[in-house]
Amino acid sequence: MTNSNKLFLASKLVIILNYRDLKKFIKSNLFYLSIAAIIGLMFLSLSSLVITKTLSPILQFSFSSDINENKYVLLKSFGVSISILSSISFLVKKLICGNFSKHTKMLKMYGVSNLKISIISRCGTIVIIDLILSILILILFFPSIYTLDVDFKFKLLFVFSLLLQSIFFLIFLDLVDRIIIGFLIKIQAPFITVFSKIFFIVIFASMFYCIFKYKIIENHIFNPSFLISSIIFPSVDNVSKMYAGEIISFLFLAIIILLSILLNFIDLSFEECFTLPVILKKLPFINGDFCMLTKTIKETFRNAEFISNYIITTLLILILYIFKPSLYTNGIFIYMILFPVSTFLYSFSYENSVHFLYITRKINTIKIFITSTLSSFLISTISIVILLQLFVYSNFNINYYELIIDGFLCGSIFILLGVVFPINKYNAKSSTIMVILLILLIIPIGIVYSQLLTYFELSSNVIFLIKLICSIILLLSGFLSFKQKYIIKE
Amino acid sequence: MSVLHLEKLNKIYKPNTVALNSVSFSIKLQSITGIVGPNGSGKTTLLNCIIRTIKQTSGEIEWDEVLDNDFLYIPDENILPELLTGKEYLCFLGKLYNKKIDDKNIAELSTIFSIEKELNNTISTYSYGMKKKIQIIASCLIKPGLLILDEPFRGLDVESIIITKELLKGLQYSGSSIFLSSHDISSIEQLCSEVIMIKLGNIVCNGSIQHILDSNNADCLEEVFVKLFKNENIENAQKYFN
Repeated sequence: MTNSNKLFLASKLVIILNYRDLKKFIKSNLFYLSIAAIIGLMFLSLSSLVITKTLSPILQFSFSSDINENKYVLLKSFGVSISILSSISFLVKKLICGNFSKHTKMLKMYGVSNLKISIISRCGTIVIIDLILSILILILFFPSIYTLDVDFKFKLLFVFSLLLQSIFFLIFLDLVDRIIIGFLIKIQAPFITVFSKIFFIVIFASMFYCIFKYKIIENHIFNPSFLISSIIFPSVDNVSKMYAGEIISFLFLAIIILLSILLNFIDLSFEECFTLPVILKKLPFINGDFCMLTKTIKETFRNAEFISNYIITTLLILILYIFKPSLYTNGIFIYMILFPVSTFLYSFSYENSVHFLYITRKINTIKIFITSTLSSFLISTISIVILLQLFVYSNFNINYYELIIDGFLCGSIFILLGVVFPINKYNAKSSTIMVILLILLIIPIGIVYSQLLTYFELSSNVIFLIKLICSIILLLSGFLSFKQKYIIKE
Repeated sequence: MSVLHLEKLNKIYKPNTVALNSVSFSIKLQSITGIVGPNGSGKTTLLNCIIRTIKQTSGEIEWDEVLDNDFLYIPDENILPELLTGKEYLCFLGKLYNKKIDDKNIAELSTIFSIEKELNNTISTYSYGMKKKIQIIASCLIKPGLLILDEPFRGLDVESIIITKELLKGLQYSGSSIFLSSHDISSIEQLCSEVIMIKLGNIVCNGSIQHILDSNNADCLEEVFVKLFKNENIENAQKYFN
């Protein structure tokens, strides 16, 4: 069999296996996926409306004038937005899915070379994330571009340049990620899963700091959509500067892609030689059915994903605290609670392994749900309180009421998501769906939420009440889904 | 006296796959009952109905009142809380079953299975066989009224299989009733006092080993299996290289 045949055969096998897995997963979660799709579409349409309403006049103004500079600046800002969207998506994927790949081991057993495995998995990741991003771009930005009174060919070219920008940025981030993993393997570092995430975040944060501080993204590098801009806008003022920028942009793009291809030749698969220390070994189990509480607490504090996410939060807070103290208004604290609260996404997956025990012991579903929820809230609270210690001696006035209600709301959202699609490293499908959901839901919900706040000008008490009601509804939905999912099957 | 009685149990999967067809039998107090059958014969469906993870279409499952909540199921799949240590899992089970788990007993049993050093490591680091051993240790510590095991010998080395058999016998003497499903027909013959043979959801024979051997004019259970299941594939396999 020729090498190219082997590559196609391996790719076909992975696609078939993933397709079957996905089909089975969709069939068993059709109800929840339909609801998620309806809610997602609703928020996407609403945010698309908001964006169209805000952007259309600006776009129309820029494109109706004859000054190409205006159009050029607009393309720049779109490029920046797409880069941020791509980064958030890659980051969510990195934080939730980690580095596990279900089919890598199997392909290795069949004698498929590392190069082919690497190409297959790279393409898979980039294609999936880019598909989600394309949906986002098309729903969020296309209506405002479509309503423009300009040539249709131009509109298509414009959207294409945005997609190109997202593909480039994903390849770039993936390259950074692989270089970090390669480095950790080379120095035989322990806990590669945890450290690769931490290094990635630190490099990612500093990279973005530099990009925005020195306006790199607005000056051609990191923005290949500028290459297309030369086709769209053949004559812009200051042409020589632009051509120079294009050459730099092209060179940078070529280096990134070349490095990305070359890195496929290196085997970056790794087996963790070290395991995380067994934390809370001495914590005794509570008597009776509530021993489940102790079990979940122990499992959470030993979960590599939770630990790494928590270290990352602390690091990010410290980096921002040192370099950008001006960012510390009350709003920034919402990000502080997001990572510790992410424990809810994992907590319900711990119960799968002992679910049959609960059934045989006839333990009430509400008891299991309350115990899991309680333990997760307890862990989140402890984690947030520890993080708050960083600010004890600072001048920041933290609004504790807002912090508590935001924590409760985020917790309730993640409980519902964690019940429906429990995440663990043995359940890649669930993790992938969670990544897709988070990318497709978080951004539109954020846009709609901020728009609602500015539009209605609600008092803080009313906002508090609305958040509380939403949290209770979400918690109840979480419980009903839990009951439905863990009920004895007919 | 029986601890569990099944009466005309039927299970039909949608649209019309009959997994169990009017299955009736009893598990006697302090007995070891084994169930044997080819793949797809309905063994796992039967176990799932008994442990209540799936609902039967019709029929009754009657439990001894005292035992209703005092049974332990050891599944074939090694699904265990991976982030707990072996010792913690045993303590967790003890708390869940309200049984006092003595450190001394844990140490003794883990020494018997030669996993005393691994007991303080998380289960995620265990091999398949070690996970099985932890499950067997758990059943010996809990000493449930009824112990249900699905493929208890799969993945164990010869020494561990012998140890498991001895421990199960010991459990029986200490008052537990045991119901196990296995493809290892010779182990079933050595260990069980009662045997049920199941084919395509129907019980084809049921009773004490001696009764089954006598009524089928056979010397061992494997012979009974070949006779009762009249499997062409076995005959074809015997002829294949000749």
